[in-house]
Amino acid sequence: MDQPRKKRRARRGEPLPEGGILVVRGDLLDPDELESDARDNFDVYGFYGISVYAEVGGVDVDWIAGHKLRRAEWLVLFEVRHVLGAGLDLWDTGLSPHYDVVHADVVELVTRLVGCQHRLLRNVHYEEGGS
Amino acid sequence: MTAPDIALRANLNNEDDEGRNWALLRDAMDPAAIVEGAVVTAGTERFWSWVRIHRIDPDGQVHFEQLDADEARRISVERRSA
Repeated sequence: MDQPRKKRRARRGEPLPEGGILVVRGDLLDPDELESDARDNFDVYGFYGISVYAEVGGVDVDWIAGHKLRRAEWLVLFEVRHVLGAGLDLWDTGLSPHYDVVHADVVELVTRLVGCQHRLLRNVHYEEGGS
Repeated sequence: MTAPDIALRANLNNEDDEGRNWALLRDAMDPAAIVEGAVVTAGTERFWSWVRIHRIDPDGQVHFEQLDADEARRISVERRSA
């Protein structure tokens, strides 16, 4: 049976955010879930990617937490410089402020991201899924 | 409130090119229940939401948008009475 072709992921063509910019992912960093998400992304778009949001285009962590990630009780914050310093790429995929953290090897992607310096923050805008 | 059974395993960080969340149909508890317009729960036990299914692509990518519980209830009632 023919496999469906991978989709071409839209890139915005923006310059990389500066090193001190914060990158946010909703929920705790669970390596198994990260790997599963990266593999799902590969199956659709043809690259291993982990979705995050960045403080670009006039939005900050507070806005991201309240608009994009309000169902996440926990937020993980990275700095762009630490993500790139770990040998990971940051692709400006979809609509701003969405990005994918990317590496050609899925195990390296997860290991390097989990190993990046980061902070865990409780989401002050958290709204439980049933609310 | 305890998280309900999740109808569509998903990561709510994921966004498609139109800014909607997405998941894969293979991760649905009952793929037959994932149809356009359906209101279901999506996510994980820790990070979930009521959602409305927007579109299902031939490759199994499911696009959806998050709803508040009140919206989910209202839309479900409307769909049942339609």
